[in-house]
Amino acid sequence: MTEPMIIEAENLKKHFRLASGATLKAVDGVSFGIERGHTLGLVGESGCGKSTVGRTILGMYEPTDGAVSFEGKKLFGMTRSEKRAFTRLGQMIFQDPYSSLDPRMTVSDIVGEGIDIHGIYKGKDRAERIRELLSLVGLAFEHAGRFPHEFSGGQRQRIGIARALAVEPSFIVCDEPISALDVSIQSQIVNLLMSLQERLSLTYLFISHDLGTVKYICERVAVMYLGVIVETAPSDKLYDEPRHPYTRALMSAIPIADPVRERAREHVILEGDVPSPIDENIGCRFAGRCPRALPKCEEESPELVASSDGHYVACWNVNERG
Amino acid sequence: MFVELRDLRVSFKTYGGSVRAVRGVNLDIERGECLAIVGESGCGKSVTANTIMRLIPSPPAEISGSVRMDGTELLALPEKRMKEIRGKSIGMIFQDPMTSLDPTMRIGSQIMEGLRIHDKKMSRHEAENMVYETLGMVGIPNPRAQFKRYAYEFSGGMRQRVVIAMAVICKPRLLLADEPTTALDVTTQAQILGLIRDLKTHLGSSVVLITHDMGVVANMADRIAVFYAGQVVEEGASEDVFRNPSHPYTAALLNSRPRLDRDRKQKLATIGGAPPDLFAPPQGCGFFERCPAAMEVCGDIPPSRYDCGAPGHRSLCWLHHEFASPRRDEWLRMRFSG
Repeated sequence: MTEPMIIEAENLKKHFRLASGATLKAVDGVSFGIERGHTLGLVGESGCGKSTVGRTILGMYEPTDGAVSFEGKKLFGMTRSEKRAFTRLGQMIFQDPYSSLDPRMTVSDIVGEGIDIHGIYKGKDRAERIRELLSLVGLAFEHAGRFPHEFSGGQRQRIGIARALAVEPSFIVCDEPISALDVSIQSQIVNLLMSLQERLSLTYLFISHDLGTVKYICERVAVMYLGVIVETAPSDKLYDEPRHPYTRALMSAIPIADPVRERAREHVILEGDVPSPIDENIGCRFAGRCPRALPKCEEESPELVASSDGHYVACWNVNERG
Repeated sequence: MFVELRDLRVSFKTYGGSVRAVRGVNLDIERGECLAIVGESGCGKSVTANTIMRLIPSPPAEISGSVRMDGTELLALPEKRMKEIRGKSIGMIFQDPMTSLDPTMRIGSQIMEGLRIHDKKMSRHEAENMVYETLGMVGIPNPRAQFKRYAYEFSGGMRQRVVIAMAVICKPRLLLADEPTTALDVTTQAQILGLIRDLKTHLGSSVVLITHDMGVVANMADRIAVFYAGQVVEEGASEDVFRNPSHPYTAALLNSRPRLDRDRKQKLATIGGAPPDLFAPPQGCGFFERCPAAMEVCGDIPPSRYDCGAPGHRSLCWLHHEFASPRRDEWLRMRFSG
């Protein structure tokens, strides 16, 4: 528990200005930290801003407001050489293994690109490193000369993982790394990510809408709704006693693969759709769909408040009634 | 039996050879039941549904076997007769609501199209009222105002409701739903599954639900057919298949998903390798190369179908042959530990 935070986001905001002149508040004040060697799961439905958080903390987007610090250093305001070092230490694994690999590059070009840019290995060492990386992710060295189209989805995702690992990162953002894969392949990639974490003491931000996988991989989970974190807690706690009405609805919407229990349990079905992040929100963003909304929820936005050790909830109902 | 598929085979000719997408499928669908077809991409589940609907032109595809609905052989019907059945007696819900609607047509006209094709005598006024009623039934608020809107004005969940309205407006006796919620978020998925369940009760139709999500199956299905490499490898009542998976593939499928109701740190079982190449289907069992319980016979001779105890619960696996009983008992003890 006393491990220092490797990456921290503080009141991170990312707004996009649309052509119409309106502002889309993709991320609107998100704070979290991840301890070295741990995994934070970021869950939520499409459009809730989880991928934008991942991209912003890697410096791919400049935040509108707030700060990101990596190993204690502020990310925006780093010197050129510090920033270059960070692009090596912070890496990303993408969702779609089909569109995230250049079809005209061979596997060894793809995996070796980062090694060359950062000048980590040259000549024979470079080839040796690529061999090592491929075997680390469960591919063979013969694969090095092939092109992405010669591989299946699961194998491509392994190439994407080898590319991220090539530059010896300490922190990896996994943006829905398994959702484009078939069920029987998903578990292979999950097990690979977990064994790599153990072996290389990696820190992950694991972005997903699949709460089952997140529970399995992550020590801690943060639930996002419309650009804000509505609840965060250690994994077991969040799944055993979700407190925010949105988290509860989300959990009950995921079908359990057991017909008897699935039919017996209570389902909270949310009405309507997620509102647009373009609209101005004054109160709680979930108020319009919340089964327990109070008049106050429409007027004032709740803050994340600790409800028990390490368990934070942003909900007037929970925070005021305990 | 309402619908019967017998030894259905579908293959496609490509430059690389012939792909045997469906390799001898036998299935029964009873009136009013929900049958779930489960399997990975490329296992033939969508091709089977599209063949029932006769959406696969043959030639070029090679289709053999039989698809009977109420005793009528659908595969032998002339296209003109099939057009009367398609959309009227059999409705279909497609996976992707973003691409299965015409972006240039108002959604009201799109829903009405099928209705007026199948009932030429119906007046426009009557048809419009039917559309309003159906839009209400699928949970689209304020139907009259929505009638003139276009697909792009709706969210994913709402579009899927429009697609469902198109599929059910003629009150089909058989509803084929091909991954109806895969493109949707979980909370929207829960809404849509609830809707399909209500419509099934309301119309008394049979539903064939194609999915790869065992959770969705548990929520919806009366019976399950597990597809692998173009064949049904296990079928049975939903409870039986979940409680007593009798084909190693089914067990592996159930084990490989992290579950909300299980503890963390429990090792996640994997299925090594990948499904077989259907250009050159294996001689023996399709799952042989990936099977944790494989025996010598499995690689050489295709398995037969065996009863697994409960009525209608069958598995296409040599483990259930009487000579394999020690091996089967060993596997049955191990199957949930991965």
